[in-house]
Amino acid sequence: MGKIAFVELLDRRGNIRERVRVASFPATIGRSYGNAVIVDDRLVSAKHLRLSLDSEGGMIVEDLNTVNGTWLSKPRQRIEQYSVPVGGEAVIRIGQTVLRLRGDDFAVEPASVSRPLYGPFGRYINNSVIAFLAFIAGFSLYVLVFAQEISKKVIWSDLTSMSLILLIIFALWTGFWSFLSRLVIHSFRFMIHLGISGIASIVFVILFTAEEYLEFLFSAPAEARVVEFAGFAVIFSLLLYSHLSVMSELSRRKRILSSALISLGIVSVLLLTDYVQRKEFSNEIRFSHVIKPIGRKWVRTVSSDEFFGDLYKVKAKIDAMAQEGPKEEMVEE
Amino acid sequence: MKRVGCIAVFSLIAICLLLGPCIAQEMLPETQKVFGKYSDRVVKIQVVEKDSGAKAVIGSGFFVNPSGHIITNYHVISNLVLHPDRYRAELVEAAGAIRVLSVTAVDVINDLALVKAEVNDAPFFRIAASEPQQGTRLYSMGFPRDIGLSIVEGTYNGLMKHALYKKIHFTAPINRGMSGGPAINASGKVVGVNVSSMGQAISFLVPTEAVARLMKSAGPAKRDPQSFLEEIRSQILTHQDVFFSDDLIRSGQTVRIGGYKLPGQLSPFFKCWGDSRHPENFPYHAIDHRCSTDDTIYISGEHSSGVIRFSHRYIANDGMNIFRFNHLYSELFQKSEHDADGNEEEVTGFECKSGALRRGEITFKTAFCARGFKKFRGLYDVVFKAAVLGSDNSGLETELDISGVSFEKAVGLTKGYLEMITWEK
Repeated sequence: MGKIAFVELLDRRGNIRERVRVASFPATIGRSYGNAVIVDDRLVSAKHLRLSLDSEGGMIVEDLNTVNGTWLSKPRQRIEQYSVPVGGEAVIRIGQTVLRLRGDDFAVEPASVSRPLYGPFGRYINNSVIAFLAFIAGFSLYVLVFAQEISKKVIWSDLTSMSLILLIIFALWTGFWSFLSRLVIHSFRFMIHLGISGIASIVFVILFTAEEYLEFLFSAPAEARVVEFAGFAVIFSLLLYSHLSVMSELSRRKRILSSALISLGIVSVLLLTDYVQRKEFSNEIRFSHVIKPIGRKWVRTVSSDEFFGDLYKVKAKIDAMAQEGPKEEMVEE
Repeated sequence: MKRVGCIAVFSLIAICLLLGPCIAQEMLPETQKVFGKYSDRVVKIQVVEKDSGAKAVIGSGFFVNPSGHIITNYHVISNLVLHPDRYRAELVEAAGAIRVLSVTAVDVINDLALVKAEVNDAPFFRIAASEPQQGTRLYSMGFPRDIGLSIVEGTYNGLMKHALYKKIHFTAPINRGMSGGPAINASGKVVGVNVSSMGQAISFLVPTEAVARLMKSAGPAKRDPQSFLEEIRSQILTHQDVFFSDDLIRSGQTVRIGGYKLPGQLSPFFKCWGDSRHPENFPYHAIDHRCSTDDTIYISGEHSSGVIRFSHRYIANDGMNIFRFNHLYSELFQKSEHDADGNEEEVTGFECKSGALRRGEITFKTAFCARGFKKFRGLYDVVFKAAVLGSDNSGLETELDISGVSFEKAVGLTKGYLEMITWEK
């Protein structure tokens, strides 16, 4: 059986627009109807190039003295003649048309796994039962944490309303991603999205709880906030990455990039809002007030002298703020 | 004989015509007499916003010399002192004529101001040489709620006991607008200056010794407004050194709550209250104790100084798990009793330092928050909060609020306050 070559006409993104099977050699490519492969491009000559075989079965591309020439894409150079080895390929440009030449001996990449990896939060969700369990775990953890924040004797009414709100949030979030999945990959994959949301909820609860304990143990509200914001950015981007992995065929790089960008955007808005709020004048007294049930031996303490001795920093800050007001007034006058 | 009779009748008529008003006057009620005789010495003072020409504050005042010096309350004209570019003070005469007033001296501790109008031969009050006996009838005059000059009859009840700032207890209904007006005796001598009331005819007057001091310290009529701010600041700082010594807290009484010994009535001028609560819908019970000085130094409509207030709350768990109980404890600790007044023009925002502090057997979660006065550099409001850590079923949180003191004074008082908290059981 003789050699078969394929001439693929590519679009600007490199996707195949048209594939032409060439079974007899030599074959010509050009604008006229006498060619094996016809290219509708005004910059292509009537007979532009010839495709023939060498003795080893490789292909030879030969320019037929054309006005605009034949160009190799990588490295970009004009060619008169170019050899494509057995199993190899060549991407060439004639006029404004990009052609890829491959023989039937060209080795293709192994097949992609039919089910994509669902990112870190979706990796372990193999079936609907696991997805549902993940959701139940995340939901319950949130409700449990909320229950610890109710001081009233009867907590059921508060818990019920909180659970309902939480369910609505889960439903909206999961519904949004399922809807996108339906649009992009024609499948809702509701349970997988639900499972991913459940796992992310668990991680969020762990983060927020850790932040509170950190603030209490080290009396470091500023550091705890950094951990909170950074942790939120990471977890939220992982959550987005997992959802994107389920609902799109985007490359891994693009998924990482888009999740990270969206997450950073949201965190930036949150940080900006927080900054603006703190900058605005307020009579509110904001201080670290969190008390946790941990033995006091674990709490980082200072002596009375250390605590009060350090207050000059507070005074310096206030004095700097006080200086701002009257100075501005004097300028206005 | 007929002629003598005619002369006698005419003489009698003439005598009646001449003496009639005097006799009639003698027969009038005392209040009416006092009002008729001295009302021309009391003036209405209004502080006007320059741009809109609208009245911002209405008060009263009275002449203390013929050259136009008027005594009033500092709180009546404080806007003019704090924002001379935005307000002007005016004297409104009975006929409606208006004269511009300038401030010549202030005494914020006693809430007094001396202002001057460009008038000559003003009818004026003299200051009483001695304090009257308790029960003496006094007459307070002023312009209550801008409805015209009024006179109120009341009783002198002596100086207030255990008051941080000297004040006369005057039993009479003094209303808004009468601030700065005089309280005089039947012979027209000033015994005090109307300053405040507590409703139900309990009113207060500034003693005349403060008026005499202020008149001596009177400066020129045209003073740099900034110099008043400096003066007020210095008056407050001098005053705090006298009244808020570091020993104030250390030498005070203590109170025992839930096994802790805590600051109680620190001095006679603190008023203390206590209560226990079993909130119906909440599984805990609490014991509250709070003390506060009764008096304040008025600085502006939204700001006062010289107040010390503290409160303790002991809470005991009635069935919550440790997580719920600690969350409740955190929420109670977060709440502050501090009055959130003051605007951006007058004060900075609060800056806080929080941490865990160990003192003897007790570990506290503490927060020291302060803000500065923008117009009176070196004065601060401070809120100190502390919560005892280490128990799963009970907690004690305490708060100390000090307003309008120097930073060093606030730190000293706070330190002393914390040192007074000990574990007794």
